[in-house]
Amino acid sequence: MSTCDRPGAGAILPSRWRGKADAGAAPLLAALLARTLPGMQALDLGLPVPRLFPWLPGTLCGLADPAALPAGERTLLGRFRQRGGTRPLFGFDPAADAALQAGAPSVWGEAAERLVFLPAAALAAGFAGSGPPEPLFLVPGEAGELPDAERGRIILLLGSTAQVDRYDLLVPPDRTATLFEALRMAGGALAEAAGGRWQVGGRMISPRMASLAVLAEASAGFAPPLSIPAETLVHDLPVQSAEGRLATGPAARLRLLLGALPPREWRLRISLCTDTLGLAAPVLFLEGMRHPARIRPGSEGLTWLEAVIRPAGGHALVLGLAMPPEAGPGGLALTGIELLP
Amino acid sequence: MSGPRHPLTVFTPLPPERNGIADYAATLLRGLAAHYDCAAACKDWLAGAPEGVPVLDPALAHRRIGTGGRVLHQLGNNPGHGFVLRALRLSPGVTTLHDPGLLHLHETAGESRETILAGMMRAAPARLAETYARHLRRHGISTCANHLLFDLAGEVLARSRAVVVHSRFAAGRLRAMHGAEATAHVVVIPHLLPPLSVPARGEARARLGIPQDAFLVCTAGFATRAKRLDWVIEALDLACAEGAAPLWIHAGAERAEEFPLSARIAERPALRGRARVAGWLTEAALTDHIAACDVLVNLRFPSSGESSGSLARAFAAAVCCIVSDTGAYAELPRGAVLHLPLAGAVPELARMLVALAADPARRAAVGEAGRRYALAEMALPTVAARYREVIEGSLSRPVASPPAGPPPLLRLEAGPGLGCGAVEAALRGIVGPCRLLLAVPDLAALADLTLDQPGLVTALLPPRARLVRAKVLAEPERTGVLLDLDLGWAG
Repeated sequence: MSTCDRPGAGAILPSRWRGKADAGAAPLLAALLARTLPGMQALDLGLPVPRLFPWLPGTLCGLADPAALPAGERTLLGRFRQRGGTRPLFGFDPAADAALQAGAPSVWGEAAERLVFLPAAALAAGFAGSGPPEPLFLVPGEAGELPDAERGRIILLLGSTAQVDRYDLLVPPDRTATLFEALRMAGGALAEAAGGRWQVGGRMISPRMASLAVLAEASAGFAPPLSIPAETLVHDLPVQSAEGRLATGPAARLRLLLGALPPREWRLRISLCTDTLGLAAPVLFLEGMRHPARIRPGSEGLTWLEAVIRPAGGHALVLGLAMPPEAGPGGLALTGIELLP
Repeated sequence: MSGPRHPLTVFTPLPPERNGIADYAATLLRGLAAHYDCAAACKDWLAGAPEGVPVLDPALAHRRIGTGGRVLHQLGNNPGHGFVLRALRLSPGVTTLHDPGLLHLHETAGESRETILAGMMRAAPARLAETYARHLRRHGISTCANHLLFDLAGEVLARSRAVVVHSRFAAGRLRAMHGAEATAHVVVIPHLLPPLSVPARGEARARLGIPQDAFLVCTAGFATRAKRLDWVIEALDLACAEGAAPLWIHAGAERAEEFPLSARIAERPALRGRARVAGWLTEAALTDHIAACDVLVNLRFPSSGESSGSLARAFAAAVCCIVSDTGAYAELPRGAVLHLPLAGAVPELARMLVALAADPARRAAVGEAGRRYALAEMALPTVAARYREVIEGSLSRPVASPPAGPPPLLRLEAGPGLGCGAVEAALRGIVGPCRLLLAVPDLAALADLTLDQPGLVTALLPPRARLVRAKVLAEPERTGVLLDLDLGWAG
């Protein structure tokens, strides 16, 4: 049974305040936005600590300034392709990036709404004039003001009463009230659906500013299961996912970019097509190191490679699969990944 | 060891990869594990590292290393080391240069021609390098001589906190090619003695089907041209003629494209039934061959300062060794091995083999002296402790970084008098991306110039410069052809 209070945000500021958000509240943020903005396409430029990817299905990801990364991390991220293997991460291909920034329909599709997560508000300048529809910008708390633009600001305080992350949703001024109300409704519905005790509340501070808190009273916060189908896996193979499968072909190794997960214990499940398994199962690597995993029969036609992981946070998690020589030359096919709390 | 155990990340091939450096690294890691929390970053994530040493995906190794972490690279001159070369650009540390030549590695590991050309320009007298570089750029010609003339170690020297080689010869060769300043951080650590459990000679012979009373000569490793197996064949032929009746096994794989070993053996009737090529061997099988033999012949000519794992194995087994009196082998103590002079090598080798076949005591004495030398100089704890000294002592040494920031813009007045010498002089000392404006008074002058000298730009550029883009500008003070160039980066 959930309880939904509706105080002003200022009334429920917690003792442990994190002005600069990490990925702890990312699942809640993604779920809230998905309920509020159906049909939205998101671009997350938060790497190496993305907030919407992979929690918001179909989110494109990348970073605004790869040159600022250490060379090793830049080289690593430059390997990956998203949308099933069709696009480099944002920041690694100037032509593809320009199309995204210009709002090209070929990239954004027929999205009813475009949302861009930026680690700093100043980066929004790169997306100026890329509408319609004019994009919404999401920034971590205290990430500054948008340059040369009048924006409404909806402050989102998310997480648990033990640990709060702040995000600011920067919206066209005339949409501030409407979007705030939609977010508040979505927060309440989300709390009801999740169960347990919640504090949900907020208010319009001015016509262009509102605040909303959605906080679980359980210290573990909101951690729903996550399912990533093959089509949206971000991987480093020179192949594309097709017909619900990512086939590795003759490659002996595969890396998957998982994003930044809230630091807690997760059960990882990789679904493998049983008919592509050779005489030996693939070996799981986590952050480049061999990680204990077990093989077990899955649902029809699938075999599950399962492991318990405890991500440390601070950077985007990378999974690896290595095929032993006995596995045969044909390679594997994956249908997706699940993360179960 | 007291005090904190720092993490050490070692980029290296490992077994089951079939190369001697993989075996060396696996052994060395056992020794280094006494000093550090080691992890081995290997392209083959499933490779075999010693117990307690995890294998790490090299693409993620930087996350373990962090800033200024301890790093060791094991670099050899074959494509299996391409990932090590790329890693030392991202995570500098101490580099063991097993073979000072690196041209084969660059050619086979996907390095750009500009990087190779830039390396060539640094590694030899300018005129020589320029000639060979032009042959390579214009005609794609790369001869065997290139591998001796150009070592391409300049980048490794510049990007490493210290460079380890296994012989004074190798260190001296680097110094001669790259100068004293660039090689001030080169140190010599002898090859290591593998901690082998060597079977008894009789036991090994029984396993291999070698008669106990036969006089067995072995050679080992990839049958490259420089191992002078042609000399060995001739010498054995002569020895047979003198009644020595030796058996010969080449304990290694044939590289027919480099030296057609089996075919050459077949041309010698005297060796029929006496010689065979074992092919690539597991570590245990190689040890059996070394333990079973009476003499290991390990020749090199020409030598670029390589070291030999099979020689170390023979020392461990107290087997009598014959080596070329050149390169790193010339540094081995007289008495611990038998040195074969380069002049008159074939008859001298035949004479040595005939004499050794008749003198088991002499063989045993040389083998024992070799073992004692190796125990004193090449024991794993000694070598590992030396590595630790080098790693710790070089932590604060700065390394060269690739150029950062926007590419420099140079301007040269273009006209009939502009030649490639002036362009080369202007680009000297610049690496990486660069922009060069060939300025003219107006577009009409540019048209005249290019009509008079077709192919002007190509003719002006030095071999190491790759033309990325050319753009005609007609701006005040900036009229001419703006060239975006890549000048490679070789340290």
